[in-house]
Amino acid sequence: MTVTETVTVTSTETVAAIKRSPIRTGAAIPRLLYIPAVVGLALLILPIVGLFLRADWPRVPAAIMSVEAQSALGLSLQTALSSTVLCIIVGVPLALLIARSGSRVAGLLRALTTLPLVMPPLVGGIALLYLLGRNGLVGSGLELAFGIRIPFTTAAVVIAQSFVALPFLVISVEGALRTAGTRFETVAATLGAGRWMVFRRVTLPLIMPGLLAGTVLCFARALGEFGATALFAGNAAGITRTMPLAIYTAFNGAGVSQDSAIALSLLLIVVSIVILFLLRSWRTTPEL
Amino acid sequence: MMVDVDLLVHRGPFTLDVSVSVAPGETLALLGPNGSGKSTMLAAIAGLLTPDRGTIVVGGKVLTQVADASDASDALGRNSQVPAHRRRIGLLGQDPLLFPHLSALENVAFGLRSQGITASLARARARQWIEDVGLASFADRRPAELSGGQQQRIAIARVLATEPDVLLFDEPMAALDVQNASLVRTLLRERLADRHAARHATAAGRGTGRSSVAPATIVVTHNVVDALVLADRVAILDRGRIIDIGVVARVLGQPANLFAATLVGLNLIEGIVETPELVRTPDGRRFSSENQLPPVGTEVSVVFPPSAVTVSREASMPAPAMPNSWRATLELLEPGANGIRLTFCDDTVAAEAPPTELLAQRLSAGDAVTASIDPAAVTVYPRRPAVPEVPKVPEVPKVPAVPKGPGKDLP
Repeated sequence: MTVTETVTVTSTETVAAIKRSPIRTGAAIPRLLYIPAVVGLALLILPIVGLFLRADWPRVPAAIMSVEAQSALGLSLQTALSSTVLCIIVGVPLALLIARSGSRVAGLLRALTTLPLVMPPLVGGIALLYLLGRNGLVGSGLELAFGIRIPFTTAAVVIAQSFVALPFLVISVEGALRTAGTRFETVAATLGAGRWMVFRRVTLPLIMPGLLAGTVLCFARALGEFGATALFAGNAAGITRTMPLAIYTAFNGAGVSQDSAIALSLLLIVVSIVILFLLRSWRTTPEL
Repeated sequence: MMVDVDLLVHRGPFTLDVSVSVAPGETLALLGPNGSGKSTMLAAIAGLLTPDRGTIVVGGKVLTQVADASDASDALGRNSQVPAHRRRIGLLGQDPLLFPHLSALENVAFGLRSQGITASLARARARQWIEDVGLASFADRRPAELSGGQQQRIAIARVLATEPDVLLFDEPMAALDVQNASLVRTLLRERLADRHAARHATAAGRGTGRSSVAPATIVVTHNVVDALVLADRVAILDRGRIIDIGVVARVLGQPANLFAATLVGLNLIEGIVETPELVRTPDGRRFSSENQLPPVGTEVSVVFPPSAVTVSREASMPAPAMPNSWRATLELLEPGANGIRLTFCDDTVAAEAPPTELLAQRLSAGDAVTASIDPAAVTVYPRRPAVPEVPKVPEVPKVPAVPKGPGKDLP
């Protein structure tokens, strides 16, 4: 009799312990996995730490405040913002189209959308050049009909950035749409709401967290864009020389010390972090 | 408004083939087990799926018209399907599905604003509807801050606020605990009863004034209580077909066949009246009732609740020749609605007894027992033809009746 009682008590304690365990942090991870996790973290953080250590701090303010740096930063923010807006305008409807298509069509559309993601940006730049360049498929027509030349202009920068950044927005918005499902939209329809009303007052608010996350990713990608821009838009100071191009120019620049490249890099990192935090704090307010 | 539904929907091996009418202000309960096609039927009425063939007419307006593709003569009339948002058909499922980003008030106002009513007027009306469901102090809360029962009450307010021509409820109490289910059921009964009287809401300035006719309501459920409390008529759905339809007391009190009886929790045995006092079943059992039996020779259904069946070990207690008792072998003991449910080998009859009684007799599966029934609990009525009646409609529709399909044959 006593034996059975002991067993009962033990099993109760075990159950209680199991119920508690998920709350104890780290209990579920095999200890061996800590090693690769820390290596991964180091891979991400150490280069940036190195950059900070290597910086010639007394000269940083001058490098950052220089006319070239200010113009590159201004252009970067302006073009990245423009391409993000462009991506939202075309990306949300595209995501909607993919999410509401049948599985085969959706699979095809998704593959096409993610193509720029797996393609080297340089290749994207060449492709854009052959599409919109003076002798390009569309570019020649544009020049003949309207006298518009796109390559090596600020517009080219925005197009190149949009090309590489759009997949990020589409993928996260499409994921949010799939998670949200169509049940709320169905309810809205039975309550008498037409398609626009449903989109505006139900679909958009429901995917807002995903849309914001996608916007952050999209903006970050646009801000850091280099390869496609360099080929398609060139490297003209004040017109197409965004921060990444300015950093590249400074790094390889004749006579200019690499210190200003480091200083510009630090500036870009700080600007990115500030924007990330601004969007984060904005994102937490409309709680869903 | 008057609803006429005639539907044929194929979903893989499943076929839904129903034809039913619901009058203004009337509530029809659709009773059936899972997979009998109840929700499919509502989805078709709400315009969320297009039937393979069928017609849905509400208040004289054709909402769905799909002619059979194989029947050329039928294809003369063009097919049409009014989209869900233009049907004026309200649908409430077992999940409240309140918009999570809107307050309770904005949720209720949503449908009104969709109708083009200004935001301030929509909110004022929504507030009245929220008061009607007893949640006035919760109007500004988000759905996440409400309990499941409160959410469902807001969802009821939201669907009623649009004053639809047809109200469809798909197991509205299924996701709630017993207490909340009872609360919501009572609320629904009050709201539905409201509409039988002339729509006072219009006079109170709440109504849109355009629908002075009370809506027709269809409640899908697998719970008999819902049908008893809410419905005027009940239809029993089995594998996509209506096997019985009529007033609640008759359909639930005098089930048409074993399927319907099982659904409402009654035992049903078919037999024939042998003498003015006795009914004989094909397997040789005999039943008597305290009520007058139909004339000798009538084919009848014998119905009694499981709780009226007494099971005892003693073989000698009732004489074997006595009516309302027989020998049986216990097959299974399982939890039942009123105690422990007993089933017997090779028999559709089930008994229910309190656990104490079983304990006292130490009964277990495989035991040979004598089952006996209290004659006061036995109901005998002529077997009903297994064809659905033509739906009784209290009000003559203003439009020519929709052609109905041929009488549904039954298994």
